[in-house]
Amino acid sequence: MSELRLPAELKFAAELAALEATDDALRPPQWRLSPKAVETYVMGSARPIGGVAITPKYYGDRALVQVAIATLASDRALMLAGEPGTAKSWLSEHLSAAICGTSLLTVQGTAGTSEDHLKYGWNYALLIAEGPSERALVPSPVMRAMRQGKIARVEEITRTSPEVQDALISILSEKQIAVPELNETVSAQRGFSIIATANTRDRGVNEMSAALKRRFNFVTVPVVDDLDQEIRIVQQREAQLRSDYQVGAPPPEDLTRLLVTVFQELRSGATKDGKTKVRTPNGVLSTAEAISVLFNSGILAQSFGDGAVGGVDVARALTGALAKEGADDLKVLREYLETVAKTRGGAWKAFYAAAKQTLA
Amino acid sequence: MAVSLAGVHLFPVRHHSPRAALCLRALLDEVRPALVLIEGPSDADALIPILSADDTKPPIAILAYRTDGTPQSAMWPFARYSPEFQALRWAHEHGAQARFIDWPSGMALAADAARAQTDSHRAAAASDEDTRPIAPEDAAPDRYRALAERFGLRHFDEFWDAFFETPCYQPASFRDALNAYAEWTAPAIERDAESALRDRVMGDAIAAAIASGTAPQRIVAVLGAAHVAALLRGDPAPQSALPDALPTALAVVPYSYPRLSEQSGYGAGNRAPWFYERAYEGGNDFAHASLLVLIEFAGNLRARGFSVSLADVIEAYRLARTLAEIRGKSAPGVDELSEATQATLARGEAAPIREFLLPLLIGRRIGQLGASAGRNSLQLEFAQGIAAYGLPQIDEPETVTLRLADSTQAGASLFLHRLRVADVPFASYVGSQSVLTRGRAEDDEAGGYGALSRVREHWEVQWSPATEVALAERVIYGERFAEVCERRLNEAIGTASLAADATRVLIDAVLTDAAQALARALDAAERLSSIDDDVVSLSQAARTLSALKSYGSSRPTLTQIAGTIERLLVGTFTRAMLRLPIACRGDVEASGDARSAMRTLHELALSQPALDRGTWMQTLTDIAGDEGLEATASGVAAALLYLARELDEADLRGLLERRLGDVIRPARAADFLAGFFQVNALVLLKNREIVAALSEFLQALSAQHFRDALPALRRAFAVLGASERRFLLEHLVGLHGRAAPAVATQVVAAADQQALSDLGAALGQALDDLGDLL
Ligand SMILES: Nc1ncnc2c1ncn2[C@@H]1O[C@H](COP(=O)(O)OP(=O)(O)OP(=O)(O)O)[C@@H](O)[C@H]1O
Ligand SMILES: [Mg+2]
Repeated sequence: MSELRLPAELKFAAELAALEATDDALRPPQWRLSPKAVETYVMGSARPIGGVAITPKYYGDRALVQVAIATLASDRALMLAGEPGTAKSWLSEHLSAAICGTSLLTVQGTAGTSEDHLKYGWNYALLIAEGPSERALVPSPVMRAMRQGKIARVEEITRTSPEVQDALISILSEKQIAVPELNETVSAQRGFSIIATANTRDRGVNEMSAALKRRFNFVTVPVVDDLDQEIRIVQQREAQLRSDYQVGAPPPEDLTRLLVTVFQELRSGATKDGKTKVRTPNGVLSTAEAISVLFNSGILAQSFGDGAVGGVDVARALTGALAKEGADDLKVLREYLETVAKTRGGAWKAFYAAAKQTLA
Repeated sequence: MAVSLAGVHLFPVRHHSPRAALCLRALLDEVRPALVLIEGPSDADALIPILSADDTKPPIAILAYRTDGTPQSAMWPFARYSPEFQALRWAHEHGAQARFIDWPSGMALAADAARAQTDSHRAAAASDEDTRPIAPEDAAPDRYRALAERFGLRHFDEFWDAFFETPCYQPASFRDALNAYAEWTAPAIERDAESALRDRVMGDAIAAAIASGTAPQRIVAVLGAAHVAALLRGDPAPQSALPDALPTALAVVPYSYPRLSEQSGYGAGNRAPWFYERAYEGGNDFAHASLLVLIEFAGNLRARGFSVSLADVIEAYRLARTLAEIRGKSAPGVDELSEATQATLARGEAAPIREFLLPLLIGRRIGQLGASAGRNSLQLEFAQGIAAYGLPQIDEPETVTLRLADSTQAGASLFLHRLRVADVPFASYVGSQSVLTRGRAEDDEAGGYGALSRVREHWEVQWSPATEVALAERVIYGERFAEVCERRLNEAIGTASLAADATRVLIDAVLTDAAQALARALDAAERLSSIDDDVVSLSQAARTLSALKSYGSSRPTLTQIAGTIERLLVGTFTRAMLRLPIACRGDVEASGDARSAMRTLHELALSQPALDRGTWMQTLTDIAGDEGLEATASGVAAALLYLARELDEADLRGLLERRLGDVIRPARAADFLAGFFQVNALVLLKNREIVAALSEFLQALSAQHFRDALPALRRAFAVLGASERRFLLEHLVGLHGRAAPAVATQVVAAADQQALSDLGAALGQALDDLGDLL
């Protein structure tokens, strides 16, 4: 199973190697690729490069990706902010893989994240046996990134405590971490930078301080509201997941369209034609969630159905996803079925019937 | 043709391109021509001294408008960095002669009008739109977008900035680049007939200048790139004839940057005039202009209370330059500037960019005309009015509050009402209530019946080039605004077909002090009110006349005609009253007009001593009791009678019982109820007698009848707010004791819950609502 979770730099090693081999543009210090080549890696290329097809990783606004790259090229820290499931972590992973060859120097932000996770900790057995020493020091991913001149990723920064955020401020402004126990200071090598992600739904949990915000350039990753665009994303990502995991079944086009329509309508609170209002659920109906529902329907079809993805499978996967937030969201779905889905023809008919049954 | 133009310096431009202006000036300095020929209407030559005067400050425009009574105009705007403007300035500074060589404005307008006719979706735009005649380029926007996309850019403006504005050029290299560009965007095979005609007109004009003795080497001709390309190619002369010129008059008028930024078609695109001006002044150094903009923007943000550090500004500047570099551009343009600012100073938010940065890049500049520019009498009167009343003259909406007790401010009100009636777009009436609430009452119109009783007026004032256009055009109606208003009100009287149309003009005539129109409007009102059958129109006319009678005493013009107004009021009211029962026939929808007329007339009957209150109440009584009329209307009449204390409680209960007793046709009873509640549900539901009658009615209904009446009942109860519901419930408790909630449900849901729950979702929903209600 472990190869399924390969980090981007390994999974796309061939693409990165081909880009590196053909890249003759100027590279910022320590960068593995030029900014242009990083952009090509993230956005994909219509023509193979060095004989290797470069697949698109992020589907969306090229300008946004350019701003992110330009930020890192001027060794400024980058903040990717946005709604859940908009590919913030995904972008962060691919950017660091392409720029410095590793996406693994990552700190996951949670309420329990402590300063040690950003700076360093100790191997207590060694610490007791030998006293403070270089050997006993356990550097954080950030400290390792500093030493190697690479990019550290700090995920979900809004979930961390104010103390941790303050620690990050000093790291970003001084570009060094003091280790008083060893009477030494680790300074960042050129090439060091940080990509943080922040979930805008978390606002208010730990609203970032102005001082912290000042240390970052902000790129807002948008929710996709164009139907065809989101269908394309969901289709392609689902197909990739299916091939990575070697499970599931390909969903027919009209069901994908149906599912993404449901997501967009529930998300925006109105039908696409703007004529009917619908209630919005509490749960997050992100693109990522749509991908996973579609992928799950394939697995359901394969394991419990006749192998072909039908309205039943999509309905089941969808109810499963919405049930996470509790009965209220299921009520929202029920209402949607009666007021919207019921009135539509084509694939909606089977979907409506199946969903009604699943909900009963 | 190409032969005859040999030796002439043909210089291709794009309108409002700083780079073109800069290169053109360099070329002019090098060639030092005796004659500068410029694309622009040839009948505007007389305006050249005004356009190029030292004290004329762009943005300005040549305005051409029709003088045959049809409203149509066009403008040729110039920014400081428009190559045409710099050509004029250069000629002025160096004693060279300048001349416009495009076809005359009358032909441009004729071509516009013809195009509008064949191209119906353009009709609206071209009829009264004050833009440079539509550039042929705008006809093929796809070609321009394709060009941008070919270079991986998002839109044409970005392409233009990247390829023409930001890179460095010598005049010769710029000319070659633009010629190549024109070959791509406007190839010979796609040349439309109109553009080809203008190619010929301008080519001929250049040839004529040579023929009359100026050496070709001493001529610089400044033309749009597509025209230059056509002349260089020597396109064959077009077959079609020139259009017949419409009669026009021309003037130079001030223009504004906000307007210029709206002209961002492909032909004359200019989305950020102030930014371009900054760049132009620094020799088209867009990087430097970006820094200036960022510093100013940071200042704006600070003034709004945001914390912005110098480090942020520097980072934004660095990021903009890095972005430009990544995109292979030589300097940041509007796009890089916006994106870099969003990522830094705006912390990822798009709103500050949209709301503060883009307006800043556009700028607020308004042009000024030099002393030599002649002004027509309306333009002068307008300028005097603005100065006398201290009104703002910026191209951005600003609210002005006038207290009419103050004589100067009353003067300002007269001035603004005259502009309004003269249809000069400058001030729009916002309302008489506090600006903060912004909630303008539905009937609080600039020239509405309430106009005479106002103590305060709020206006939203915004000068725009359209104001100047109107000032120039309206002169055909009169030399003074007072005169223009008289003429326009007379026109309105001529087209009035209802009494209300005529009385509306009466108010405007009073507001603008238009004595002749007042007399004529009075005649028209008298004539129309005796033949008008429309109760809405009659009731509105009566309301307006009543307002004139009540509030006219302070206006000398009105005291003389007070008698006439009163006679007219009584006549109009009486006619409306007589027509009212007839209008209350038909269905609920049809009676809507009658109901609103009824309420208007009722207010008048109560407030205006001149009117016959007794007959009015009798009319209402008849309507309330007449089963042959639409039931909602009867309900409204009953409620009005009760509130006017014309019915006592016992009478009302009797009436209600009679009207609600119709359990066989419960929908009619429910309509009656709906009308009844529409008037003042709160006062009505405070009365226990009324609630008792209601409760009895609902309890008496069978399940089947209840179901039939449900839609109408929902409509009736829908108007009730929280406090009405509270009273209703309190009375029900009083009537039925502690078991009220149970009774309440019963009242509404009748007995048969089971039967009702089968009625399907829509009905179930309605039932829930009614359950909530009680
Ligand atoms: N525009 C997109 N292009 C490519 N993939 C996308 C896009 N939007 C969503 N995805 C997919 O959605 C999945 C989830 O994305 P990711 O985990 O990066 O979201 P996130 O923004 O970090 O969410 P959270 O705030 O919950 O952490 C990824 O598999 C990603 O590929
Ligand atoms: Mg994430």
